[in-house]
Amino acid sequence: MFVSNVRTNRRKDMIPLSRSEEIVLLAIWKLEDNAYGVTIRDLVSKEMKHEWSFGAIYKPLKQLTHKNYVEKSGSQPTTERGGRTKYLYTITDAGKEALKHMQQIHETIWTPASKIAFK
Amino acid sequence: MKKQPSLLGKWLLWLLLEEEDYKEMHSNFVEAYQSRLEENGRLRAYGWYWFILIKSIPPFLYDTVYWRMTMIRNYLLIALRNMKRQKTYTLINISGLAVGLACCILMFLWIHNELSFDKFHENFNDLYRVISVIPTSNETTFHARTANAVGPTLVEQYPEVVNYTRYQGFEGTLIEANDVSLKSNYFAVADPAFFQMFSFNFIKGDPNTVFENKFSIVITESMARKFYGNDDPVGQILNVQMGRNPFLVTGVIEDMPENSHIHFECIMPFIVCKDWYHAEPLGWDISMYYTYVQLKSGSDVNDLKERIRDTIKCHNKTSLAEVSLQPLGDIHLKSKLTGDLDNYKKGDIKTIYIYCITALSILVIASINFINLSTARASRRAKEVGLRKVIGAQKRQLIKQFMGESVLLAGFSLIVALVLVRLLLPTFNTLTDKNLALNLSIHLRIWIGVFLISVTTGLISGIYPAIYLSALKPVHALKAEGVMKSGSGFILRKLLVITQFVFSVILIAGTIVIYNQLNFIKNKSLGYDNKSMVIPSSYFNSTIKNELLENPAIVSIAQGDLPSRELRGNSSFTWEGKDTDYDITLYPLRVGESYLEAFGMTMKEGRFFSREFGSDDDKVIINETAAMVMELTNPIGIKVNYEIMNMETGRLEEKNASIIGVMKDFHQTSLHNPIEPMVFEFAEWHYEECIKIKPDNVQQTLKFIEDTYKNHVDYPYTYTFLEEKTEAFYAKDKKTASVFSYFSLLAVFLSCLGLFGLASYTTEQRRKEIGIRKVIGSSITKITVLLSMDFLKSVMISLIVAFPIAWMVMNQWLNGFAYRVRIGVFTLILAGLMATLTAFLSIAIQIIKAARANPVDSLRNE
Repeated sequence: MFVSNVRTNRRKDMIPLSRSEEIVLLAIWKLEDNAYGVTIRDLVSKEMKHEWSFGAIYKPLKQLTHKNYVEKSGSQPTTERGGRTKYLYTITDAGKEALKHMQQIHETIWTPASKIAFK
Repeated sequence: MKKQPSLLGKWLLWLLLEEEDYKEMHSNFVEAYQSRLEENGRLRAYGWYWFILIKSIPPFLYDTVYWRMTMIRNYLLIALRNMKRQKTYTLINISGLAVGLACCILMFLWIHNELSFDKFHENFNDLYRVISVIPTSNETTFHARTANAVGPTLVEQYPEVVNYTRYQGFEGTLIEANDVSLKSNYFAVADPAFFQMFSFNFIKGDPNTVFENKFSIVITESMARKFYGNDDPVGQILNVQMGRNPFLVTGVIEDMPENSHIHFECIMPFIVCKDWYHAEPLGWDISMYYTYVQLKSGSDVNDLKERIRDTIKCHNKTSLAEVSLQPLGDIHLKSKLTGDLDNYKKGDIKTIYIYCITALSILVIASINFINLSTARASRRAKEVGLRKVIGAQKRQLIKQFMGESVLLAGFSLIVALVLVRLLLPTFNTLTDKNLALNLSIHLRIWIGVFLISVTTGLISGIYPAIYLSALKPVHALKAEGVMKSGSGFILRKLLVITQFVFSVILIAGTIVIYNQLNFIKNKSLGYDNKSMVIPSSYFNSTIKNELLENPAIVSIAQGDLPSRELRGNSSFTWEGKDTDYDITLYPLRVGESYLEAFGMTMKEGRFFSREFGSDDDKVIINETAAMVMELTNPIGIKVNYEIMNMETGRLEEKNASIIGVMKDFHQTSLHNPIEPMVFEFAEWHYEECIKIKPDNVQQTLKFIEDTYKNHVDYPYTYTFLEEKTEAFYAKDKKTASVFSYFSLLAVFLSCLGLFGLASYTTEQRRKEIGIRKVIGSSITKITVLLSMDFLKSVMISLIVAFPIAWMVMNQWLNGFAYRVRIGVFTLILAGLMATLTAFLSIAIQIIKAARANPVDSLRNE
């Protein structure tokens, strides 16, 4: 009952994104205006060279939305999807900041290792 | 092109996700499926769809569960916080509900026990007792016994009847074995088929062969232990005093379960009664023995009952008795037959109804308390409700939250209730003379029932408060101070209080009436003197009698069929001038010379039996009721003719006699029954006697009697007082009375508790109003009156509703008595007064406190 990952108000700039959040956020950024469930999943699966399920992107998407790194908006019902609403995700400024932050972290933690030659 | 990949998949998503997410994900799946469909064809698309869907289940599930848990955690936290903040109300609520539940649980256990009688027999559904129906013009007698030959005849003549056994229980016989004398309480006789029909488990011995030998005996476990310790009893010899025959122990059975109407400690073959009581195994006279039959499963009982009706009449031309069947299940609770003496701890279905209704009333009262208090407290939760709605809670969620709180409270109450039950069970057992227990292993059904009761109570009690709370408008809730006094909630609350009090008044009135009736019975004259009458248990002879009479403390000795003994009707009477068209049932008694004098009875006309007038063998006396039933204006000298069982030969014989007197009526049996028409025969000698002693130095006199007996006979001696026997008639009623009064007390207590809680809340609500009134100039008394008026009005209404209902219900119960009190207006008024008084007491404190409050304080927090 007392679940560990309770979401409390932690300062966002201190906590890095989780792996899946990072991957999904990057995909959303890359997709620009066309980021929604299907496209996100396809892109990520292609990049990872591994089929991600919708469930796998579901949690990261929710967390990113909750953290306000992406904005969720409903587009007009299109006949393409049989009249169902399509929810588009767009990255926010805070999201871009978070990605920059992640890039810095990666550089920091990868730098010493890059000196080791990977055979 | 098929749009939906799978309906099942859609349904699965719907289950797992919330509304919005479901819509989104479903579209995602469908779009992805469709694009695959175009590319790779149906099969691969389908496979891919399910692959991805199944892979998605764990994250979806986790998410939903996580959020649900979080919400539940929040609800739980809020619920507990609320309970802590309003400790008084929570306490009142929980204790009230706990008491109600505890009562229900106890009742439930009791009722379950009563209903379970005899159900442990495998053939339960096919077993019936053969009874006799004797219609005469003044009454139709239903008798629990039948002729001995009926059993075998039924089996022979009707294919539906597959087995039969006769049965009879005897009391107070001595058994000797291994020099361990024991006065056995109950032994029985039955045919060998008894063990096939009834399921009594054998520890030793083979049920099919135990009764092969005429002088065999099967004993119960505890008896075996008493006599033989841990040795094997089979093959040992027991002496039964009755016939001084040695019996061979052929089997040991488990002790009788409490819920069996058949109870014995040892059992012998029916055949021995031929020797002892001259019982005719194939006789057609209704004698002492019961008969049970087993029918083939699925037989048409009603049809069979019609066909066997004249079985006795076919073989016995003079008998008026018809044969009928009584299902085994009816014997414990629905058996209002005469001669039903071997029915262990016989119960009554009416008592079950009474207890059921009482328990339910208490639960209703407790639930009403709960509802009232919850809705009254609504104003405190108003802000929370408003806020939740603003954030986005749906009405449905709020209802679920509040009902969940109710169920939680009910859950706590259940725990307390169970503790209460544990504590009260010993007392309850003593009160009801039972051995009830609350163990999981045996009574799984009870636990489920108990759990269901509490959850249901929580749900039902929670519906109204939940709906009420969830309907609060956010704007009003967040702005206003509290819930306004006027509103539909207020009326309902009043209605509930009224209902509570109706129940309480009915229960109080019921208790008063029951005690009145019991008192009436205790004090009503029986028509004879039943005080200071000692009944010794052994046989005596004239030497003992003379010795006893020499002691001045012994006033007189009466011999004969004692008062309080159950009589068997005899419908063979004819007399001069009798109308031959119909028959009358009279109840014969055999009495000795000093009977009249010893019991202080009086004659209305004529004379009593006496040796002065020669042999009174051919003389009879009738009582007033008999004279009336026989329509005799001048009974003296009238000749009568009848058949009666001769105790020595065991045969029916015809007798001619003339009436020599009319005795004043007295109550032979309990006051439940009207006085029967009785006929008295003179018995020179009778083995039952009653010793009337002087009321002083009772212990000394008793010792003297005991010594006298011991000098002459070597049977063990015990005695009873006649008073004990007559009081035993009402033992069950007394039990019912005490249980009922305790529960009434509880119900009233609960109602007052509810009123107390409600009063404290209402007075607090009206704090400001009271403050203003005081400032204007109202006196404390006036305010007290004002505040009380509301409640007392409700109580008045409930009295008006309760009186007629109470009157009707108590009348029903009293109709079970032939001699009963009238339900006076006084009783009802008393009940009403008591209810009003207790109501007022519970609210008085609150009201007076509020009325005396300083207006400065009340009006300050503006």
